[in-house]
Amino acid sequence: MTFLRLVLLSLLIISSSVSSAQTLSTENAQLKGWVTGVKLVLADFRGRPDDQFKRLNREGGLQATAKVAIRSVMDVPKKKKDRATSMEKVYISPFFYKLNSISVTKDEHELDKQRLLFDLAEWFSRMARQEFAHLLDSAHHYGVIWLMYSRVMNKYCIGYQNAAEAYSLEVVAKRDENAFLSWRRRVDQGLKDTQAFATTPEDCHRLLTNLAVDEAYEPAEDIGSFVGCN
Amino acid sequence: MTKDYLGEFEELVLIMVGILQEEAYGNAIVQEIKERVDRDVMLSAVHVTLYRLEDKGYVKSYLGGATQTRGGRRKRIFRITNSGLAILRSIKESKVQLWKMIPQLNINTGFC
Repeated sequence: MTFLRLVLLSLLIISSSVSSAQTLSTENAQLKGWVTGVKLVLADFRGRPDDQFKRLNREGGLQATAKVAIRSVMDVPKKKKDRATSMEKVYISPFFYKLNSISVTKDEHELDKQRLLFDLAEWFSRMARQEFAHLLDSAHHYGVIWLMYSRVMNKYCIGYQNAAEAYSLEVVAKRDENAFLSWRRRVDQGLKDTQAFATTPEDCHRLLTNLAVDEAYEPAEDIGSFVGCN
Repeated sequence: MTKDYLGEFEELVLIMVGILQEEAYGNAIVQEIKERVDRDVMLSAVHVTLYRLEDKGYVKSYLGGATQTRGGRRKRIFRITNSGLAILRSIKESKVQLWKMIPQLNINTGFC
C-alpha cells in the first residue's frame, strides 16, 4: 500500500513538473526562442531554397542563411492604482524564423556560422535588459521604463542589425574563417559578461503567445516610436 | 568581347545600389527592395551578391564612418561604378527593344 502511494505520488510530481514545463512554450512551428542550452539544428532551417538561393550557392558559395530578430513587449498593470507600487514588465527574446531560414548543407561548421547570429541577438537582448535594470536601479518609479522603452529597444535592435550586417559581410559573404573565430570569441565573452540578464522561458512564452504572463498586467499602448526589430 | 550577363537578383541589387547612393549597405538594400518591390530578401544573399558585383567591377565598396550603434565598427558602403551604370543602360535598352516587339505593349506610352 505504501509502495503504491509512493508510485502515485511520484507520478503526480512528474506529471505536474511536465505540465508546468509545457505551459511555457519557447518555440512553435515558425519560431524558436533563445533559452539557455538552446541549439539550432538542421531541421529548424525549414525555408526552401529558391532559384536565386541555388544560384548563389552554386556561384557564390552561400550554403545557409538564418533569419534572427529580437522581439519585445512591455506590459503594464491593468489597474491604474497598482501603478504606484508595481513596475512595468519588459519581455525580450531573440527568435529564429524557421520558415525564412535555409540550409542546403549538413556541415555543422556552416550551421555554427548561422547559430552565432542567434547568440549575437541574445547578447544584444541581454544588454537591453541590463539597461532597463540600470534605469530601475537609478530611478525606481513607474513610468521610467515606459518613457525609455522605445529608446532602449531601438538602440539595441539597431545595434544588433548593424552587428549582424558586419558579421554577414565578413563571415558569410567573404568566408573569412578568422573573422568567424574572432566573432565567436567576442560573442561568447559578451554572453559570459551578461549571464545574469539571460532570456528566460517566460520571455519567449510571453512573446510567442502574445498573452500577458501576469494576469494583473496588460500590454502597454502607445509606446512611442519603437518600430520593431525585424 | 563577350557580353556580360547579370542575373535577375544581381540586376535588382545593382539598381538599389544606384538608387541608395551613399546609403547603399546591406540592411538598407534589403529594406529598399522590400519597400519598392515588396519582396523579402535575405541579408546574406544581398551580401554575397554585392561581393560578386564588386568582383565584376560593377560596384566599389569603402568603409563609412563609425557610429556608436555599431560598437565603433565602420559600415561598408557600396557605390555603383561607371561599368555598373553602363550594364544597367545596356539591359534597359535590350529590354525596351524586346518590349517594342510585343504589339500589346507597343502603344507609345512615353516609356522610351
